[in-house]
Amino acid sequence: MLATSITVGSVNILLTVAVHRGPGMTWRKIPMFSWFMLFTIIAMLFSFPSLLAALILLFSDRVLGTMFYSASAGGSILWDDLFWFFGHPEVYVVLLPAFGLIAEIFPVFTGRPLAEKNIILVCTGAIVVPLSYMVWSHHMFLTGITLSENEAFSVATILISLPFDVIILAFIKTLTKSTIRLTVPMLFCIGSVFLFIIGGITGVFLSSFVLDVVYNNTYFIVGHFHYVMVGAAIFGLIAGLYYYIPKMTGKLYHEKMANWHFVLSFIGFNVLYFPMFFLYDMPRRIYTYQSLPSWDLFNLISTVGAFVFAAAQILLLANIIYTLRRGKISPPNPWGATTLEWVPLFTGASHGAGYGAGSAAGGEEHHVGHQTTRPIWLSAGIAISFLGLALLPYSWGIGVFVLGLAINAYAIVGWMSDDIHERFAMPWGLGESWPFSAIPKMRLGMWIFLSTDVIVFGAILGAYLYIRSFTTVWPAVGSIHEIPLGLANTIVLLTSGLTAYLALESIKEGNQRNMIIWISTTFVLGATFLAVKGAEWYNLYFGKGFSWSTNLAGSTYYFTVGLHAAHVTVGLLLMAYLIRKAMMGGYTKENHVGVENFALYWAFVDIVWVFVFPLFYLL
Amino acid sequence: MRYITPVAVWLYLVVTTVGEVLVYYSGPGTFSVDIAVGVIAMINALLTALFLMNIRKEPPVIQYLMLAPLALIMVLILTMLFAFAQ
Repeated sequence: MLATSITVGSVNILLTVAVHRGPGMTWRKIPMFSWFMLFTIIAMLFSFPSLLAALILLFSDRVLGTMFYSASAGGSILWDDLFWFFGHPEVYVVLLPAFGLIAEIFPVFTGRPLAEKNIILVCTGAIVVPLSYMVWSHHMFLTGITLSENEAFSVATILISLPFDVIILAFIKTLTKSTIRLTVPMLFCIGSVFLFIIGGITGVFLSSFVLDVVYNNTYFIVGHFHYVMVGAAIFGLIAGLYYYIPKMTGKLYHEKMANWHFVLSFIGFNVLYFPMFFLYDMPRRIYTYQSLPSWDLFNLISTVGAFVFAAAQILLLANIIYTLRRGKISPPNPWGATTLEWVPLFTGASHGAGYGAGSAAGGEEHHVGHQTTRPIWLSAGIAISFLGLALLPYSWGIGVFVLGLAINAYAIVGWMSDDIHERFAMPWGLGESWPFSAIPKMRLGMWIFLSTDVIVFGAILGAYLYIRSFTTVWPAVGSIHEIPLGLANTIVLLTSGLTAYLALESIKEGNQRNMIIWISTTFVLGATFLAVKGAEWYNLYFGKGFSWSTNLAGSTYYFTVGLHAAHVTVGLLLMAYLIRKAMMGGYTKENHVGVENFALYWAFVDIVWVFVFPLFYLL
Repeated sequence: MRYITPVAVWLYLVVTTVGEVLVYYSGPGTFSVDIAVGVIAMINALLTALFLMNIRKEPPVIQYLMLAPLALIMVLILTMLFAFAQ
């Protein structure tokens, strides 16, 4: 559920940056923090669907009794691949916002523009796609994968350090020949860069699979990991917190307490984690350790550092409370920054740190007219239905699941009804939006969603292929599935793809009647596909005793086809909505983005089946 | 006449899907049949994307948006498949 919400949230934020910028806010003028957030979102967009796929397979194994991750099918490696395909880009999801804040803060306190801004952006783009997705197997060097894969991922890992080097050098270049004001945000920024350099250098050690034999699963890894994920990332984020506290609260933080926070954090952090590099022979993930002279001292030092580091964070908490309750009123631009969010007009505005006149001035009225509680109901419904799924082993789990579905239905039907009555009508088209200017935002949203769905289905079909290649015993082709029935059903679905296309073409010509006819035909064909699939499942389950827990063939078949069927079901719901709205005259030659989105979605459902049919019925 | 391309694509998809089954019956389980069926499926998917999703008429940024995850997922799948290949 978290992975789903993050994916949908990524689509939302990406769209906001792409098409909802204020007037005059061109791509070149976007603040560095927003650029880094954009890169972060892109990293999230393609990585979290892999986690989603990994988790629903795991969920299916735990609750439904499928066997994707069974040892006999090399399940641990399958999990490793799916998880780390998400897990490594996720490191950058955590790190890049901190870098974005550093890129914002450095120019303010050095008094000179960020050095090599364009090169930083190019390097960050290269890190996000493709490099961050080409290094995950370095987490699996010792799992027994082939030497050639180890070599390839070793090279890719060394390669990804290069753009980071460039970014860090650009940060350092910004510091040179400048008058640095050592404010607390600046101290944390410098600390973050310093700690990242240590974390990065030790990471280069680990990119070598030869050295990984020695360092794997030791405290050296723990040290490296925390220098990057806690040191670089958290120090950068804390810098951002101090930097924006005056903006968020309209008050100044306690300077001396904040300075002590930095000093103790920096010392505490290094005392905690640096000794771990000397513990390269001590295994991690153990609750206690053998008393050895070479281990005892470093563990003792680490423990002292841990207490210092933890105590320092109390100062941060105290400072936030102090600022909120007794902090001095902040001047509109306490740092003398030159970026738009610090323009005095916007300080203390109820809308927070808006960029540019468009976002601030349009603020309140922008939200009038599309306020709704439906998303909250839908979120609650999804949470309850997933909870019900998790509780299926208990007899009352199904009740919770049905309750969740009922709340979902209430929210979705209500939401669609609101939309039909134009309660969400919003102006759009603000500012320059190249390269997306020619694409309506809803259609862009659909394309982005489909690009994430490519990863979900790709990961699941990849899991199937992996299992097939790993498993020697598999039912003979044709012994389980009725090939002629599968073929007929495939033709039904392919035909529905054509009718969906014709529905879209009809409304593009302004022919609403034909559009309703074609979309209704698509509905009937889609429903027929589902009904045949249901009959097929009934026959397999009750007639042949072939269930999802029978063997790996059953697990992969029911799961993949079931996921596709879920997509078809969503398509049917969308069609019911489209038909109702069309009957009320909701679509015209000029306004038919809903039909356009549906046609895209349905064609994608077709494409998935084009692969699923031969994979499960013929190969 | 305006709909001749989508109808032709649909017809092609139907015929080649039937063809996939016929290819399968010609030698089930053999490597060459697996490859042939796979290639047919890929061409069919490509045609659907080009002509029914009309991705060919979208701006390049959308085309890249769809190509990027495809390329990334291919890296994942190939890595998984060759993890233990000698």
